[in-house]
Amino acid sequence: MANLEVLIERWRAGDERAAEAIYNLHRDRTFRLAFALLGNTEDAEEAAQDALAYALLNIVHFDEKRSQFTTWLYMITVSRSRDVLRKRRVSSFSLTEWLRSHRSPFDPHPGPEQKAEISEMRHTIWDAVQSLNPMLREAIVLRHWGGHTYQEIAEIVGCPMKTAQSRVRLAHQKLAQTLSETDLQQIAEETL
Amino acid sequence: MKTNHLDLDSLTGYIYYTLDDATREGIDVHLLNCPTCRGRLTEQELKQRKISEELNAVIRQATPSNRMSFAAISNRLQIRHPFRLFWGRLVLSTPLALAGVGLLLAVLGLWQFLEVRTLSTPSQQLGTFPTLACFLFMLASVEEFDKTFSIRSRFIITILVAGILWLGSVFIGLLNIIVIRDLAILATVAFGGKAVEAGPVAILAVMVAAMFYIGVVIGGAEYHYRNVGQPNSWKLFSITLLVQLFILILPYLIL
Repeated sequence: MANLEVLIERWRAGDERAAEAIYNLHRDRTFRLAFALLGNTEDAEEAAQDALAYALLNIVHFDEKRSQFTTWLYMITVSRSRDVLRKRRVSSFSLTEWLRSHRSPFDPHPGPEQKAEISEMRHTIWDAVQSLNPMLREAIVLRHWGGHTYQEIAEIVGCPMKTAQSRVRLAHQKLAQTLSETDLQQIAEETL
Repeated sequence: MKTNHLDLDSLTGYIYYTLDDATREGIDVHLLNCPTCRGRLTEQELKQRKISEELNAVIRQATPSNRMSFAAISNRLQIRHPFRLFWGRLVLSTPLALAGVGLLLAVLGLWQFLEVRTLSTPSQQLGTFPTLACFLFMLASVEEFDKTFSIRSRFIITILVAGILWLGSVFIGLLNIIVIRDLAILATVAFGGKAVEAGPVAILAVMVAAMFYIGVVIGGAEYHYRNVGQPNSWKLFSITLLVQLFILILPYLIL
């Protein structure tokens, strides 16, 4: 983390190599957060690129005393992902877009080995998460994938901590409702 | 407690540490004495852990394409060059500057109206300041359309701009009532009414305009408070200011 602080300082002083290093450090995780929130690679790349560019451009506004760099970056990523979702809602209906948005992340070019590897249950859980309301999805992704505390989730999504807690709990209840009894039974059996 | 088993809500809350201490302790006591709920809790924990693992597995598997590279955004970062940085900050603070100047002009307009009452045509007593102010407010609200409020660095600017626009529209609204009163008097005289009859007509016009004004001020404040920084809030500001601007220039169009 000390390394990141040095990089931030160097970038603030105008060293572009430091900016590149910060970018490379956070590229994959920023993309994955956007991917989990948006459900497809193309939109996730757009949101993540925007978020990283914004964060680097506005590095002077980042206050390390107030939050960690990743928390700040994720806050921007969530915001950019919401913008993409908003655009998606207002854009006119397109069959190819619809097909793309309903495509599973495994679809692009799955090889036979990959196909065998990915369980049906994983598809089911992913679809269930993607069908959640965006606010609940943000909460559950940040909790499970990001491993963030409720306080951090609240900061990232911009809500009180109690609300963040409720969203995580509600998201889980919705997931339990969406996943059928059979799915849950399968999960339990595989776990036990 | 022995017969009433824990529901899913309590179990999920227990697992996610979202319950208050008292409820949590109550559940602890119940779990000590209830093997059924202990079993259900273990089952829920396992299911939720599995869901978490599978979700993580999917997300970990996702990788960005080669298009997502530093080179693709490096052009945008050129803005850090001194001149562009200055320009960027200027653009960022433009709505605030527009709104600030607008507010100053609106106050000047109101002051001018109260102090200088020598012009022959009543509505022209307002002068050009309020019209210019209204125009600047509109520019500021349109400027804010595509800005993202959720970014913390924009919080203060956004709230300030929204506050000034609301205050500005309150000022302009007062001046609008004056214009409406004057127009009512002129209309009465123009349609053959006597000067004596113009008084009650003006009072009626002011009352109707004032009721509408109060509704817009209170309703608008509540709406903007709830939607501050959202495109809909800026749209409402733009529409309100457009109507106010139209009322302000109406005397110039008619007379």
